[in-house]
Amino acid sequence: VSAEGEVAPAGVADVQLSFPSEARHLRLARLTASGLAGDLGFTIDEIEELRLAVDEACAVLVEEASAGSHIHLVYRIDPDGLVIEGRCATDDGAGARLHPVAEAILSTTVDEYRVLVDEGQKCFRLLKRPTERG
Amino acid sequence: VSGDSDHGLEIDLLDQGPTPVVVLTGELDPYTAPRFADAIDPLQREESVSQIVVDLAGVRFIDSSGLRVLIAAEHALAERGGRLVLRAPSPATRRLLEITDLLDRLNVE
Repeated sequence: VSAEGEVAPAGVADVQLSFPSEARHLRLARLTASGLAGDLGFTIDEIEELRLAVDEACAVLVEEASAGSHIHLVYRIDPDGLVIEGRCATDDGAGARLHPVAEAILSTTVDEYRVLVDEGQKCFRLLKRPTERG
Repeated sequence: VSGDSDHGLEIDLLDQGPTPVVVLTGELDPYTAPRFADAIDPLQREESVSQIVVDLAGVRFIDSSGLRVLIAAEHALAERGGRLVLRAPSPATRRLLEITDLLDRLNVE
């Protein structure tokens, strides 16, 4: 985190990850999140929270994914934090449904989260800001 | 001791009898939670079992899918007067129980 409070300078390349929409691959999403957050100077607690949030969000995609589809994730380092966006084809056109426990986890572990269905794809966006440190 | 290991989670059953202990080691997520559910389901149905202890000391990760298995087991046991005890959760697991309001609802040692 820079002296100006920015997580990283603009222009840092996104990290993209794609894997079959199966629960066994969720650990890849967690591992990537924790690696990037560690590089950005997030605390151990913040890394743990981010790992949990991306797991919960990806689990929603896996649950309602079309057969044979892939989950596509983009990890983007924004000036104010780490943004993770995910999407996956779904046959379920209904709005995103979150289990109350998953909702409680997401609302506590990240600063912003959104889960929605857009043009046949279930999508999410997470933002995690590092805690200001003196 | 019966061991069962697979990608991410090892499940060991100790002290079979009225108060079995289930020891989990690894990660409890949507991939491994169904195996944990399969392991604990016959115990929670067994009339002679009055208490199940789930030892969480070796759990490196747990999410809502794992919590849902624990909640279901707790309900099943409570319905017939039994109890579920969660033993030795890590600080991260304890925090997860806290943010989901389960720390006070479940028996945590």
